[in-house]
Amino acid sequence: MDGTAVALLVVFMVLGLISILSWKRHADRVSAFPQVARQAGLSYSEGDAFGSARVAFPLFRLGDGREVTNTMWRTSADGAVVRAFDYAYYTESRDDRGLMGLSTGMGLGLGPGRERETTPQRTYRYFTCALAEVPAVWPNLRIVPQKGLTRLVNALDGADIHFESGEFNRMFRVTCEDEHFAHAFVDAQMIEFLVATQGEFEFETRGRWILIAGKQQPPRGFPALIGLHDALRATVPDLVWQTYPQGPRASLDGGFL
Amino acid sequence: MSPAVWVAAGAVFLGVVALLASYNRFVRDAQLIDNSWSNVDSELRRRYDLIPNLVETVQGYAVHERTTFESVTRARSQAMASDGNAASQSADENVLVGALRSLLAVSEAYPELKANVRFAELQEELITTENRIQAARRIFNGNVRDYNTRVQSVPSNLVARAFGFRARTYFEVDEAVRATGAPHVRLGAPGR
Repeated sequence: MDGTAVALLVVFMVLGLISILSWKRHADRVSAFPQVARQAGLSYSEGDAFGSARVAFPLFRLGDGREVTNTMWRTSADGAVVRAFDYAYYTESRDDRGLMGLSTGMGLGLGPGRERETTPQRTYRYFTCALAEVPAVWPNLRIVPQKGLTRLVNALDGADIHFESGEFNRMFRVTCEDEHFAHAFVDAQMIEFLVATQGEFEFETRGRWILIAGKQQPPRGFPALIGLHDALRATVPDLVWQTYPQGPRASLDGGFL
Repeated sequence: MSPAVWVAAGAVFLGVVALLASYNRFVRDAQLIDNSWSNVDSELRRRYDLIPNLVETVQGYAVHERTTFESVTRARSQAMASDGNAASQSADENVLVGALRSLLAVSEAYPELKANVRFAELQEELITTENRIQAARRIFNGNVRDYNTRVQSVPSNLVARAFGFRARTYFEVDEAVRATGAPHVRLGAPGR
């Protein structure tokens, strides 16, 4: 066997080992969910028990192949059914003689002729989310962590809302269609709560829903994420509950998506 | 023009841009401190508003505690009249906190007062207000810390000295009732 063949063999073996380890890690993770849910007193479903990704958050409109898996949930003390779940989607980049193009996610592509010539490459993105409905209707408020260059770019567009904490302003970019709501929602205690999350999660309100989204968590992180959602709702200032319209919780099909 | 002149001109230009940026950041940080102070102030006022009701309720059960009521009322007036400077406000608020603690200690000697629904509600409101005061105070102090760091660090201290940006005072005040403290959030390490 010459040197090239040996090198190829080693490469294939390393790739094979990486694939096996990756598969095993994934299998271990999936098999841990029922046990973690049982220990934490949560219900569990391998799939999307609630149609969670149908709620119209921007995250659930990105890319293609959107999938919700591993849903854990419970009814919290305030009556909210809080669910935590894995969410994934992919984006396609097309390599056409050195040109790269992103999929629009709406099947439009770059034109049929060009699509036949290209080889799509998929980039998967994985998240763990916590979602719950509140008995109120709130404007769309996004509190998104920002770091380094993103912060610089965000500072230039001037669309974000600033609050009384320098540390919070550096850690998060806040945008909202109703600035009064943003200031009512993000009071001093909420600022402290959000800063304590160290920029690991994105927070968003939309209609009757509050979403927390972050990097994919291990199974034991799911109950903690549900707890985080409970804590977030408990931190919502009284002013918000009193000022913005309240109503009974609606189902996903209740017309408030 | 020779390259040396261009280099010198470029260095001066960059120096002026850095100076302006540093100055503007001081202005912005100072405004942030003032904004966060106004939040502290409004939370303190919320507590001032609660005190007369609290005194009135306790008075209904503990008529012989006149000295305590007077000291609370006096401390409240003094705190309300404070000049809004963090150092003097801290001193006045701490006197008020001491008086409030004495007032709440009175309830221990009067079981009927402890059982009074209105008193329980006021205590609950006081705890909520205390939490809000402490949260606003921590944010104010965080802003002061960032600003003071820049006032004392090189080279921004040169800008601070040139334009009269002086270190600010932290706002330290005791709790009248046990507040819940700053939140701690810890999840498991992220997966892939």
